[in-house]
Amino acid sequence: MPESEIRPKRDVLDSSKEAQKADRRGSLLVSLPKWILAAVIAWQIRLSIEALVGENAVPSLLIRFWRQTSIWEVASWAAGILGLVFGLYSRHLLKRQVVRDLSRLSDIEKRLDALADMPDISNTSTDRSAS
Amino acid sequence: MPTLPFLYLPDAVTLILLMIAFSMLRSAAVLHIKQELLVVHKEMLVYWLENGLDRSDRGYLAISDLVESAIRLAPRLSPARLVFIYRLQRRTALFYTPSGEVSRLIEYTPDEKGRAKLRRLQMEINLALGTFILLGSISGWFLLLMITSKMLKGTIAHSGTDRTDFFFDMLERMLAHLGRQTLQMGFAIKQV
Repeated sequence: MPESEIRPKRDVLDSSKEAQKADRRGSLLVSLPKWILAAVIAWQIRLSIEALVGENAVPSLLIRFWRQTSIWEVASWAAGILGLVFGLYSRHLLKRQVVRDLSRLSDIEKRLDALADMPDISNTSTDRSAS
Repeated sequence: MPTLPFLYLPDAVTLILLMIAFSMLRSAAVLHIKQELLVVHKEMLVYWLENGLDRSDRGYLAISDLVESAIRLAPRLSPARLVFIYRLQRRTALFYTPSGEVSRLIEYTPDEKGRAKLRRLQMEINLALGTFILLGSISGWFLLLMITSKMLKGTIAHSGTDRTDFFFDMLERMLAHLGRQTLQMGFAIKQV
């Protein structure tokens, strides 16, 4: 086989490199909001810790949470936590189902492949009776 | 009562909950598309067995490969992830087009009903992927807003009484187109 047929063309190689770059940029773009959100959360926690330094920290925190938290805040947190529990449970069920479906399908395919590889039984029995 | 320091901690709790909720929604969407694709595969297998068709048929194998690739690629598919690939694709025409290739291989299936079935399943895969790309991520929701507004404008501008039919027809075509594009760009990532 001539070498030119084995080796990919230069423009295809360039395109692959560019696709690699584009994919990296895409994955950066996807992970950026997560990191920003994590940074904001860390910043908020740091500010809270700074505000509590030198004071009666734990009681202040408790007062903040028990006395100053509005009903809406509590309701949204409760709904959020319930949603997370429900989400985790449904994800667990879905994952189990997908794994089960995948294994079932591959089992069926394997069995069918094994059947296709087997010699024809009817032909064998007729051969035996003939002999 | 002494003045309390202003704390951001409750906001942080809310944000953490939000972050976990979004990541869970994403993983649920990925699991859903995997399940839908598995249903397509199962339907094809059942049809093939019921009709005694050859499982080494090129069309059958092409759809099987397509389903398997889509299942493997699903976690990496979102408009934000594919935006740069899309821009690259518009500049160069060197990308492998799986949908075109599968359509070509389906034509080799000797059974006419089997061919029709495979074409319908290919369409279902495209529709499922199109729906997933629009609903399965935050960037998809933005894309959905953009596309819906454009489609509504088009529907309003459409002269005729069958505007609802026109809208849904456009929606179906758009979803199928998005599914094909997603597969094409997904394969570009796969090759990387």
